[in-house]
Amino acid sequence: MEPIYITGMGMNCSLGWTPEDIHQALLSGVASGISDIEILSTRHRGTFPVGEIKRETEDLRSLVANSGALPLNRTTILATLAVENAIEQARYVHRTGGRLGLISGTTVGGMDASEDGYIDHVAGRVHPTNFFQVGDCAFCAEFLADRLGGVNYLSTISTACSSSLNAIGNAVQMLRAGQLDVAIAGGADALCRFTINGFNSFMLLDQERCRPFDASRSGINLGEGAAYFVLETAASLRKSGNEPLAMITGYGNHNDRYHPSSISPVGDGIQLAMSSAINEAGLKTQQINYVLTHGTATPNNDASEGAAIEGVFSSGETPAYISLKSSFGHTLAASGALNTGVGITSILTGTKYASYNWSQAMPELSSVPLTNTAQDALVNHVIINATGMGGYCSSMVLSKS
Amino acid sequence: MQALYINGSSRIGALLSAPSFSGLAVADEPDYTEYLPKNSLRRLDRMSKFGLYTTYAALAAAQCEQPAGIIMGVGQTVSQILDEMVRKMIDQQEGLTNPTSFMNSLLGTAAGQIALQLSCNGYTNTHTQRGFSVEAALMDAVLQLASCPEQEFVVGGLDVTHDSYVDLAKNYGHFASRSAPQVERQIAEGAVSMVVSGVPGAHSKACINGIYTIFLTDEAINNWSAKELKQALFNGAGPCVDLVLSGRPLGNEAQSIYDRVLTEYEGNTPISAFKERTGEFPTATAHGIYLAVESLSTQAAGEVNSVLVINNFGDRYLSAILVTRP
Repeated sequence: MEPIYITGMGMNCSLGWTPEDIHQALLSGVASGISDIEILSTRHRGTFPVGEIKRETEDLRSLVANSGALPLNRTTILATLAVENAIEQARYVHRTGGRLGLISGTTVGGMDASEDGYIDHVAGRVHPTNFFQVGDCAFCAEFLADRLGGVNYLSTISTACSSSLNAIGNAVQMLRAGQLDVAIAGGADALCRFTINGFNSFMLLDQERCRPFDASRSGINLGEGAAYFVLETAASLRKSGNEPLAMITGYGNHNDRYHPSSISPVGDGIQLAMSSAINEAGLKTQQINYVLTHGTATPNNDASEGAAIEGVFSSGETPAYISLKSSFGHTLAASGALNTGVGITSILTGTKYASYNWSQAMPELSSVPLTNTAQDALVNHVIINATGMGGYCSSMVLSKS
Repeated sequence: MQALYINGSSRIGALLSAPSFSGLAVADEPDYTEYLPKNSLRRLDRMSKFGLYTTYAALAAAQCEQPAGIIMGVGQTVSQILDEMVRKMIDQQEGLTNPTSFMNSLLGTAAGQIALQLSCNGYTNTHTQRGFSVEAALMDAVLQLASCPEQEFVVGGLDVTHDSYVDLAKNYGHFASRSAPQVERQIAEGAVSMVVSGVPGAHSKACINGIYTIFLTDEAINNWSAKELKQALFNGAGPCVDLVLSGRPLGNEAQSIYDRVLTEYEGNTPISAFKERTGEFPTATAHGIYLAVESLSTQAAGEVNSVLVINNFGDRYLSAILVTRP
């Protein structure tokens, strides 16, 4: 299959505002992006640590010029800042007249605005912000489409925590099919009470820093952030003269069809997604150097995803795998895109970042995650995984360009 | 664009005789137990029921036992279950809420439920771009069928509305490009599922030959010309369809867009305003397509061979779908 070239990226999370910030923070291994809640107004402050960006939404709003009548929700602000960085790096190729697509992933959109507005709504008062419009999942992509000066294709994808990886996958397929020349794709989610209480209702939140792929793991630390990429076809690249950061060579999307909110013990859907992505990339499993897992640190996810990895890769050939969730939390829809950004910096710098806060092997698995950062490593092909409630399982292969 | 053959379709929705701008047109719901076990119904949210019922009915019509994948478009993202969940969260001051409610409030849940019930481990996706949700889902199906056109996918559009949604619309206005508190809209709801393939089959009833979308930025609203639509769907040729199913709203929005689009057809081609029957919601295009398939199936060949479905949501989302005989 024709590779698709990544020529711009922007991302933010609790570890920093740029890919370089995040790279340095991951290398240091000391500074974790997991901390007590300080910004979000919730009764769960002091109970559940999160990967929170330590700036008030009102303060962040001042970073994004907005001539529209509606104030931006936190998710849209994070997304816009990431998109601005991505299009700058890609030298504004989206303005050169090709057919442009914008595909954005989100789980709950502007819920941070909606849940504030609903307090007034249920009390019979009219809230000063039009949260009914601002809170919609589609609002972020609409704002971005306006800001980009119009787009030829527009979609928001909401497949729970796999949303952004499926947004990037959708963009890759549109580009390969010749429907677009340039696409901007990724995803964003901000912390909000709705998701904290939703995951808490499943008893899936850890009260300590999470421990992915550890025998003692007991749940998620939620996080927030955004990551977006400028994607180009080979033909667009010849015209733009942009230097690709990496290539997307394979994408797989399958359903686990096991349970609405949990993954099958053998990770059936994840295995299929990884296998499809590797096949589409035309690679053998031995050529995969690094796996950036979904790795939420729930007992179910890590056992299933670990089993899936061991099922896809032969015994003794399991590539280094890690989870970034103990570094900046589970950023829900943004997690696949943030993993993609880290995968790109891994390829560009020859770094295999470590999985932090791990100490004890899982009895269910014969492998363990990488726990020491490896620099000057061979990183030619990276797999990104993302799963979401509803059985959604997706994988993507990033390759050195 | 590779053609999409519609091999089976099913619809849940209202069929209105007298529109109203003040209330909600509730869908006529079927007997779900025709396809779903009674004991499973209480765990399913209304959107999942809509999706599951129409999927099973469309699969039956297409005589398809197992689709290769599920792609849904969900328009209104303030679902009833989300509304209830947020209210409970406020009432209980963030006390422990119901995990099933949280799960069902996620917009991708309906497609996931369909995949689970059908034991389908193929491609699954959910598009939630208001007035392009169904259009993006159809485009997604085109992409999936490009490599395996003989496969069959379930594609659909889902919208569930509720009284609280009507209250919100009353207080905060409908989605529109500009502040438009006086927009008149017959709020409705519904679902359509279609079984589609990339090649014609024994049960093919119609064929989607073109999908056109334009997101009208403030600048584009003034500058957009219907020539662009004509170029995209007809290579610039003149009106060459037998029927136009127009989504021109009953109220006062997006009228100038329809004026520009329909001028060429008026007097030459029958134009039927389908949202006068279905009401208004973001995935109404799917209902226009459903009615186009019905027209093609019930009219004699030679009378209606091609139908143009044009639809808007607010005055920023405009789409057109060309539906022909297979």
